[in-house]
Amino acid sequence: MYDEPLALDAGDRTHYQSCASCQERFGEIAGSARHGAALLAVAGATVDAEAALARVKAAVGSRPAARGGRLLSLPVRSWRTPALAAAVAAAMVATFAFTSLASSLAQIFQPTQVTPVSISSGDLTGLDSLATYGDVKWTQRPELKEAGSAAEAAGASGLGQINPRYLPAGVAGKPVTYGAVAQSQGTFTFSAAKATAAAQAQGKPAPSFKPGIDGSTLVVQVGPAEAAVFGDVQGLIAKARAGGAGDKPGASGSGTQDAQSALTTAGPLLAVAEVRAPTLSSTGASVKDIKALLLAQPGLSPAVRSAITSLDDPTGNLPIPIPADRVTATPVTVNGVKGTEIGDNTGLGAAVIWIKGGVVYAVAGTVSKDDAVKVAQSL
Amino acid sequence: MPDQPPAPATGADESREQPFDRLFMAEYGKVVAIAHRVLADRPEAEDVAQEVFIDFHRRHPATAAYAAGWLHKAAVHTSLNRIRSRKRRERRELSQPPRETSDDPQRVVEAEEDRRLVRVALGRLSPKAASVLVLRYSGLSYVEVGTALGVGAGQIGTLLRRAEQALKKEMNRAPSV
Repeated sequence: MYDEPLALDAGDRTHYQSCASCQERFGEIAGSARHGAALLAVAGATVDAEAALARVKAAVGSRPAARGGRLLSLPVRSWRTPALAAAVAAAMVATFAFTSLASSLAQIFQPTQVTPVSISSGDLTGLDSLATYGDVKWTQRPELKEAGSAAEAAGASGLGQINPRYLPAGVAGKPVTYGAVAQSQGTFTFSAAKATAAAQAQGKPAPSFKPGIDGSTLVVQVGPAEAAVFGDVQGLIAKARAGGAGDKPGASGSGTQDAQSALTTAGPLLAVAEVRAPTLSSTGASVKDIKALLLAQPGLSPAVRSAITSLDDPTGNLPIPIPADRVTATPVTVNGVKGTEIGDNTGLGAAVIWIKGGVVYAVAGTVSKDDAVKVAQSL
Repeated sequence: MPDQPPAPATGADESREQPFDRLFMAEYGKVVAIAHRVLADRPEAEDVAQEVFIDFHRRHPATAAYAAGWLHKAAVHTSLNRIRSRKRRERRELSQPPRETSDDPQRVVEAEEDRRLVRVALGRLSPKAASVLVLRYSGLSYVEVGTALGVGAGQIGTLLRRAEQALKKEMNRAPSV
């Protein structure tokens, strides 16, 4: 009645004139509406739409435009190409992995917030021996599958569609490649016997397992996940293939260099990934026991100790490893939650990582940090 | 056999540009008004409007039936995202000149404080609540607001009242920034 007074018919008007209750209710609504309108009031102004249109047309003049009813053009190609599969998988798991073992540490919990931890490569050596403390098994292996559209990827993963409303100029209008990974599950079973044998083989003292840890199994669930890669993926594939043509089976190192070279020369690329926050359940060992075991390892750097200590139960922080000598990490708020932005504005590489609603989100690519944040905010 | 990449669009696609021009001329003023309502910053509102139209041009045909609603909703969300960015919000608030010309200094202070707090409070509302407030007070009809938000026009009155109450509640708890 307050907003659309002309919608009232004669009967309603007659009733209102004689109804104290309706008049009181109307007064409350009108007061609330006037208060809201006053708060949101801004000065009026005219717009120069012609000039604005000229600016917009100049900005979009060289960009491919949407056609027909399709949201995006999808030159989907096979993701079986190892270089691409590795690149996309790396982008997806980079949200929580710095070593396979360390990723398991993060998955002990149901993290709700990301926390950057500055590390150097030497920081990780103290964790090496932990790999000998038990047996790792995949009960459901992660398998990347291509998808034909954002909707198809979302249907496969059960997560929201990746459809950023902002894309940097370098990747806007470029082809988009989508993929999804079903939920995977792995186990790590502590074995005192195996740990002792490994220690003896290296001439080191046997580790001390607290009662209850030996034989207990950690069950890690990761995903499902989905990703979209914006940019010239075909160029990346071609360059990776060309660079890797001379590789010999079993050779290592050159493949990584080829991938880096291909990424550098393929033009701007942007990957957006969503991963259901990993969870972990244990058949015996408590989080406290596992943290104690990890912190008892010799040679842990203060940074890694801090990362382990910051893990909390049942919900807590997801440590994001930051090579302190190469990139910087700063806190950022993305759609109302705290996250971490990594990189700089050179366009060489930047990423934004955050957790919202039990989902880890990551935006990463050869874009500026400002653009990565803009993309994140537009999801 | 994999799909082939699409042929690049040409800039001189008049059959497409004319509908876009008409859409732009019809909706630009509304989109700026919506962004201005959220941001209380005219230059930034025009910046948001430009960003929204460029995004739309890139991804959607200008003849789409949902074009106006999409633009209105995108203007709200893009603007809300900006006020949720702490650095930008602080920068904008610092750059805000006093707009109240009243002779009563107390009234000027109170009005400016309300404007500052309402932007903080808007950023805390749910997207739907903030959207219904901004779209309605930007002059859109119930039908236009409903189209933008994907709800029936008959629900807008109720959503508006709830959003006003939520804004009032957030205003009361909004801390100084």
